Amino acid sequence: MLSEVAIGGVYLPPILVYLAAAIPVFMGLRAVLDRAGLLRFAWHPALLECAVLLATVALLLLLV
Amino acid sequence: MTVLKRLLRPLLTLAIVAATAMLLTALWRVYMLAPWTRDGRVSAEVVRVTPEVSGTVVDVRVVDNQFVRRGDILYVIDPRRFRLALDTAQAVVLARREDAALKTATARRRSQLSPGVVASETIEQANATAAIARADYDAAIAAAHVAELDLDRTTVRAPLDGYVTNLRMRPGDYATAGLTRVSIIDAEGFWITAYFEETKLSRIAIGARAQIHLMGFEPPISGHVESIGHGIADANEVPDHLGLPSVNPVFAWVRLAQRIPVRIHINTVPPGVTLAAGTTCSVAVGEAAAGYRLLSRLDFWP
Repeated sequence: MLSEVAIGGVYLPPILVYLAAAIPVFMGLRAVLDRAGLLRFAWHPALLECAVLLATVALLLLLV
Repeated sequence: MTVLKRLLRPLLTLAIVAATAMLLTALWRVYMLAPWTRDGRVSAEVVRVTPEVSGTVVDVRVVDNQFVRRGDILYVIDPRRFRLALDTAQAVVLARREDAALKTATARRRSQLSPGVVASETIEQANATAAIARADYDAAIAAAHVAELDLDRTTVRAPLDGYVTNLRMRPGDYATAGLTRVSIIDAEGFWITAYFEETKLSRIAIGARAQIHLMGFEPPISGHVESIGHGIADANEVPDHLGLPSVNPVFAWVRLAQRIPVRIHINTVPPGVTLAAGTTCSVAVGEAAAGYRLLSRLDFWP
């Protein structure tokens, strides 16, 4: 189940935690994409990056 | 070949964007539509223990937050005044009994006299006086019972098994009849009130499985939906001085969903978990209750 998260006595929505956790994962993914040359190959690199970040958040929330 | 290569770049990117859109739809379903709420509270049945008689408290037999069983003595009000009242009432009973006996004897004697010796009016009067005296005697007996009850009520007992709460009483305090001095939280009377947005109500079925996560304790509590609240206050219905509803004009783009209390019955409380009325919890119902989520369980600085 989804549950509120307590950080130092402040109750935060769980999506915030997933968002925070997604950022380092996304950084790694982005480095891999960059190394593979996919980022330069992409049609609009910024659009691809945005999509990958959102997909990371969604996957984390659905799976972890 | 070159056409294919030129198409490949946008197609690949758009495919990834489309996949992301599908994932976001799934996220929306799990996060926004599924019946779960962060806005749950532990509720408890509270019995306000109120003395039926007034008097000075002479003895407090419990301490704050103590567990008491039904019938345990909570505190004692000085019984002397009530013992004296009982003595008085019993003395009155004796007097009334003698009075009734005397007047009944008089009436009997008068009615046995041969006709013509006394006026029939006198006999009627004597009979009536005797009947009134007997009624007074009965009333005195009832008053003595009341005095006995008052004396008994100087000992205030726990009406159920539960926890003494907010005890602010010392011997010497004056207890006033009808004014609550001690509250007892029913040990078996805990439940969860989960405030669900009205948009999620259609996904909540009575009897559905529920999982509760208290903010203070790690193990989840299992429960089920007992009932759904059938009303909350509507501020627009408050009448003005003419009795007309004061309806607020609304000029807002964004409005908030109302929240409806859903009563969750607690099936089992894991050992080590202390339920306290008023504490916060997250509640998930039905399909949302399944699964163990690692990330939303992290309590970073406990």
